[in-house]
Amino acid sequence: MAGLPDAVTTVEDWIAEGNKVAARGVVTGTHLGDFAGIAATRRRVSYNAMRIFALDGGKVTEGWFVFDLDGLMRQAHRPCSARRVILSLEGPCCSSCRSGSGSKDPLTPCAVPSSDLKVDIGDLIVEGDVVDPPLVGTALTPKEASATRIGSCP
Amino acid sequence: MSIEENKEIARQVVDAVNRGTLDALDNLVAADMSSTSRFRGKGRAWQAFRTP
Repeated sequence: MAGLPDAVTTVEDWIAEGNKVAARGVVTGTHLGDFAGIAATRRRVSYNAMRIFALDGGKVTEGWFVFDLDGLMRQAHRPCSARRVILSLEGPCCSSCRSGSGSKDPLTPCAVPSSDLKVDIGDLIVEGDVVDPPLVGTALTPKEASATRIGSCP
Repeated sequence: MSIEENKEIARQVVDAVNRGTLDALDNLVAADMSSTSRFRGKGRAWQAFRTP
């Protein structure tokens, strides 16, 4: 579990015959440790897996573990295509939001000059992607903003 | 043991692994259990339950 220390298996099918039980499902976890020579990416990954248990006298005596290694490797290696998520906006717009007088949409209604917006983009895991690199204090143009998922003002 | 009883034991194994309570596996797994995985090859008991 070094690579995915929080891995959880969700079994979707239990199939049993004789003294064997098969479990087919999906393992989901966060790539927080080295795995097969790949340094931690902090991505959420999932892969198909199957376990087969042989039992005797109420105990598991033998087991087989088969999983989609290729699929897991593809997820760990894939290019980062994360959408940037703005953790907070520093500027008159967001100040208004915080005071309750502004819109929850921190850009369009307020029409704050982009040079006045400082965004704090964190190193977040978003739908399996990592925001990389973190951009703190970066000005964001409206065009960039429209293509970026913008978090709500706190 | 019946098929249903075996399935229940297998469920308990998966639950224990998900919770990270590997000590609970002591009562569910034979001491000389062997396991085989594509990633690790053939090995002893705990390796069967460890995910990558």
